[in-house]
Amino acid sequence: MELLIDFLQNTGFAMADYRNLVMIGVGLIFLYLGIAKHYEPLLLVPIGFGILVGNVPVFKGLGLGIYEKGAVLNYLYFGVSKGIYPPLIFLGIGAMTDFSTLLARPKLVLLGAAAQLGVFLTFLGALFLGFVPREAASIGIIGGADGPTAIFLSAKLAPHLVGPIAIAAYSYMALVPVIQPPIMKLLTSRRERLIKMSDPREVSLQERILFPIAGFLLCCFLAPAALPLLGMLFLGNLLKECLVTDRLARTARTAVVDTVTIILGLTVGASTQADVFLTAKSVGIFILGACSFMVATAGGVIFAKFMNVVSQDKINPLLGAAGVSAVPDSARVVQMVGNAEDPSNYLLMHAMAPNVAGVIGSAIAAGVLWSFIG
Amino acid sequence: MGGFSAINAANGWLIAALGISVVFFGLLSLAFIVSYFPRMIAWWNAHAKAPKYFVPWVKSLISQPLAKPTSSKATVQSVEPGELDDAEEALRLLTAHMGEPFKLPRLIEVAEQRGLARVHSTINGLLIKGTMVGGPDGLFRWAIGSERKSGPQGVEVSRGST
Amino acid sequence: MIPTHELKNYEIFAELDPAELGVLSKMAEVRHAGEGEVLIQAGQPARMLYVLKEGGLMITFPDGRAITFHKPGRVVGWSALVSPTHYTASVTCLTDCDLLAFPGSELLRLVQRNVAAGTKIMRKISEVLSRRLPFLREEDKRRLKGGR
Repeated sequence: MELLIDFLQNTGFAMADYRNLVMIGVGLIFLYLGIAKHYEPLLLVPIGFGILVGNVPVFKGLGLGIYEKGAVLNYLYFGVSKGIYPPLIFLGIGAMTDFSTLLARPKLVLLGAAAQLGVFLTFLGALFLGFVPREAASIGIIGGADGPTAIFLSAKLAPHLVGPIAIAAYSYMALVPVIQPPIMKLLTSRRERLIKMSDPREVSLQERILFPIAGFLLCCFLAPAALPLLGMLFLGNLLKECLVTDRLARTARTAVVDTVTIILGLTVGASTQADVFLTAKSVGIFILGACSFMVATAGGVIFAKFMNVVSQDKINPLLGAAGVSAVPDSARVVQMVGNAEDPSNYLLMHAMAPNVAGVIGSAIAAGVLWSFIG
Repeated sequence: MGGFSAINAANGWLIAALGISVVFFGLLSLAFIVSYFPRMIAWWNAHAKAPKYFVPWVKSLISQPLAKPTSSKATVQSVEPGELDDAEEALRLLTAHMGEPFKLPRLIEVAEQRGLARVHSTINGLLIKGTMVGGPDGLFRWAIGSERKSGPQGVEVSRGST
Repeated sequence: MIPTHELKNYEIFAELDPAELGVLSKMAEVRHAGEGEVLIQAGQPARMLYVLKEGGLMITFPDGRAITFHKPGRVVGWSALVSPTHYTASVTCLTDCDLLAFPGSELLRLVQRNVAAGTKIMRKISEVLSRRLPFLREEDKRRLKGGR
């Protein structure tokens, strides 16, 4: 009888409190959004299920919880806490990205830079709200709209906030088609939205091979702290473009990135336990995260309008929104908003340039913040 | 601590200003260097001894061999002319009740309820023949004599194999 | 795998070069559908884009209006490539049909991986959309204004 009572007392039913149930509800919402609504399912399904995994109450000391040394989940979480997984994902991203539109029209790179305003203004906003500098920097990087970068920086600077920051970042990336269009329409006139861009020039293979090498050297000499992320990004891209390592490139953008995404999503979700997530700080993180996306979008669009003032070669200011580096979603949003005004105005290709520049920009921003505050 | 004092205490303004400046400077430099790529490469190709097999080698990597042709398993079943006339008559009776122009999915639904066989392929045959035509408003009607001669409107018809 | 010379015949792929067609041919699947089969249901997640090889299709909109396709090369299921990511119309086969099916996620990855090829395909789809019937364009605009 005592044995039975002991057993029952060790079940999750006996140990659960309302906070576990709330977090399980959050996990179920993520699964619903990913599976039924098709919002970024490759991210939300592992994260959602990870939240379920992390919020099943377990008896501490048995080596089951993600924060317990020796637990399987703890070993898997090592890649998050030590910043191993994000660079591996960047390897895959580099291997699946075509930088030719950026090479054809280099000035669009600046739109990727302008969108990083969201990172630094959110950093200031987080300080204003009372977050310590390490936390504020980790929250600010949400504005870079890059999940791996956000996880990488918060793992280095504020590991206790990895869960809420990752969830905020990925949630808002999934909501880019909802967040961006109203801001884009508010800040641009119909006439500006109708601007058509000339087709970009042909980019040679030699340029596409030279770019990852030159880009890596330049960016990492400037911001060495961005080395893990940008090094892997440019390596992946070089593997793709040089044509002699096609097998490696294919593996990087398929098996490697998919494996790491599953483990990263699962462990980040599992790390989001009630006592960390259900706090006033998380509310602040979510509010600041939304603001950072909006500011980043506005920053890119406004800078594009500024470029039109100083330059004779006009660019469609909607492209500024693509500086938010949710690739390729924000580029698709630009295409969608431009297409609504003029179905013959094809902006997707042009939007890919600031979109991929934003990935580089957010990695540099992360490196800068880490070097200042780390 | 919060508010502007927290920002001042953490050198927030300086970090934000320096940070965005570094990002801008970095990407601006990148854009500058990238804009010179075509000239650098042109100089290299003109002055350096590029491997003479480089271009054909790259071309050989890029070109893909054609796959063996596969036969199509298309079996588009058409309705016999006699059957088409009978079915047309039945459909006309239905549309007399529905009125013109009519919604095609509704016609199909009603025809199936009435037990008409192979409604879909019947309608397909009528559309291709030009007996039934679709308008730019998404509604359908029966063609009058002159329309049938000139071809159906709003319906794309295969004029032979591709 | 679909032969690249067959893909070249379709308007949507007419501007692609052999290497780009080769990539597409690897991701394409042949789909056979019977008369009366509902190929696409409005409201379902938009995963596949279809190119008609042979047969007739009826595209039905939520308000009951419809258009029909009989010409090889016509595209349905383009929602797999643009927002929203669910189908906005249903597609029913008027006859037994042969179609080429392309996973939308693979085509989107193609845009990211090879902007030139992805651009050519997306531009063709845009042209197709801009030629669509006026009432359809209003539907698109209403949906696009909704942002998702």
